[in-house]
Amino acid sequence: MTATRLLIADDHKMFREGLSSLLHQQEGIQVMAEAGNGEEIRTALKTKSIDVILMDIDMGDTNGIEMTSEIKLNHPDVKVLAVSMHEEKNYVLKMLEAGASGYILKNAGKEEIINAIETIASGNTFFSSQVSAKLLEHITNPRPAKEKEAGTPLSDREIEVLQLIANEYSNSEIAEKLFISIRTVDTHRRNLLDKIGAKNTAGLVRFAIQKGLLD
Amino acid sequence: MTTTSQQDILESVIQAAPYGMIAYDLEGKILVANKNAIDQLGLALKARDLIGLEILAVVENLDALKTLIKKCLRQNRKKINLEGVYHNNRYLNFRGRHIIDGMILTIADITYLKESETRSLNTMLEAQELERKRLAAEIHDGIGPILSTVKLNLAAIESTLESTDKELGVKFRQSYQMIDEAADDLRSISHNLMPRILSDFGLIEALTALCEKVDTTKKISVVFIQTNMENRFNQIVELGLYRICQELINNTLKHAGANKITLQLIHKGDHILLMYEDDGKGFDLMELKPGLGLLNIENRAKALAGEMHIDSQPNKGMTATIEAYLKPTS
Repeated sequence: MTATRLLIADDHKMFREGLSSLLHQQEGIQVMAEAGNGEEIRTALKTKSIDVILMDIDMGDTNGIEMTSEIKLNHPDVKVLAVSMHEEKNYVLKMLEAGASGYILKNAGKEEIINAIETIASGNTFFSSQVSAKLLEHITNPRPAKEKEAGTPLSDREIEVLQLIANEYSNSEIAEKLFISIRTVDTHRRNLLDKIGAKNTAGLVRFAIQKGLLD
Repeated sequence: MTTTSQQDILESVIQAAPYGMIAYDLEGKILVANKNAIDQLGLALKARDLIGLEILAVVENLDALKTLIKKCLRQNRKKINLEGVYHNNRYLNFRGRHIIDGMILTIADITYLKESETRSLNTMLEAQELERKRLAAEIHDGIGPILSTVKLNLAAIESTLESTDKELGVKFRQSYQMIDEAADDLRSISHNLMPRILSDFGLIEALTALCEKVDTTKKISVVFIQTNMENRFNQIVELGLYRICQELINNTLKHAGANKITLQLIHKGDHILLMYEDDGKGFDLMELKPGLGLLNIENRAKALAGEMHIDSQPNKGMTATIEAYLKPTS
C-alpha cells in the first residue's frame, strides 16, 4: 500500500512545521508540501500529487470553506480533512457541504490526527468525538421544519399564565399566584397574543380550550 | 403709565417658563397651560384652548402619566415624579406638585441629556468590545497556535521518552495533560471574549450554541425560544443582545442555584424583546446592591436604546425583560 500523500494547509507556520515533523515519523503518511494560504494551496495541488489535505478553516484572508469547494471542483479526488478551533456544528455542516470528508479540532492528539488522515484516505469520513456528538444532536433534533409548522412554542411560564387567564384570573391575581410583578404578567400576555396570533383575551381563551388547557 | 396687574405678571411668567406647565384642579379640569406643554405633548391646540379640558383626556396616550395623575386625583397622592418618558421623539421628565385646590404639572425636555448619556455609554461599550476583539485575536494568533505546536512537538518525542525512562514518562504525561488543559481553557477564554460564531452565523445560531453548551456541560436545563427572528440584525444589536445573554447566564450559574433557564427572543416590529427567566433563589429587589453584572446588562440595554426590568422574589426565581429598539434604516 502506498503512503498517503499529504498537504498541510494552515496559516500558522509553527503549527504547520510541528505537524509536519510529527507526521514525517509516521509510516504510511508522506508530507508532500505545506501551504499558508490559498495561492500556495493551488500551487501545491498543481505541482504535486496529493491524496489528503489538512485544511485549516481559518487562514486569515483565505477562507477554508470556500477553498474546500474550489478544491473539490478542480481536484475531485483529493480528500479534505478540516481542522479548526471551532467545534460548533454550524462550521462542521458548512465544511461538509463544501465537500470535506472529515473534521477534527485543533486540540486533537497525535493518534487522532493520524487516525483521521488514514480513515479519510481510505474513503471514509472521520469526526473527532466532540464533533460527532454535536452532529448527532443536530440530526436527531431537526429544529427549523418542525417549528415552522407548529408555530413558536410557548414557554412553561406562558402556558401557566394562559391557563390562569382562561380560568378568569385577573392580572394582579396571576401576579400574586406566580410570584411575579403585574408588569411581567402583562408582558407574558402580550407575548401570548403575538405568538398565538390572537387579537384579544377571547382569542387566548379559545386557543387554551382548543389545546385542552382549561381545567 | 400702564399698571400691569399681578395677574398679567403671573400669566407672563407661566408662558415664559422654559418648561411645560399645566395646572389643573382637584377634579382634573385644566386651569392654566403654556405653549411649551403643548409642544412637548405634541398637541394640535393653542395653550388657552386647554383651559377647561380634562387633564386625563389630554394625556390619553401617555399610560404611565395618566395612571399617576388618576392616583393623585382619587387617592390624594402628593407628588408625581415620572422620568425619562419617551413621547413624540423626545425624552421628558414629568413632575406634579400640589398647589391650592389642585396640582401643577411641569414637563422638562431631557432629550439632549439622554442622547449624551447614550453616546457616552456607547463609546464605553465600543472601547470594551475593541479591547476584547484585540485580546481574542492575540490569543488566536499567538498563544493558541504556540500551545498547539508545543503539543505536537511533545507528541513527537513522547514514545522515545517513555521507552527510555518510565518515571520521566509519567512526568511527561502529566505535563502534556496540563498543556492540553491550558489550551482548552485558552480556547474557552478566547471564545467568551469574541465568539466568532456570532459574526459568522448570527445571533440566533450563536445563542443556540451557547444555550446548548450550558445545557450539556453545566447540568442545567436551558430552553431557547425565538419568534420572528429569521433575519439578521445590525452587528451592534446582535453583539449587545449576545453580551446581555452571556451576562444573565453567568449570573444565574454563579449565584442562583437554578435548575432551569428559559431564554426568549421575540422580534416585534420596531424592537426585539428579550425575556430571561431562571427558577433559582432569586433576590429581594429592595435590598439589591447592584452587582457589576446587573449594571453591565442595564448599560447595554440603555446603549441599545432600550430598557431593562428585573422581577424577582426570594426563592422564586427571576425574570429579566429587555427591550432593544431597532433604529430605522436611514
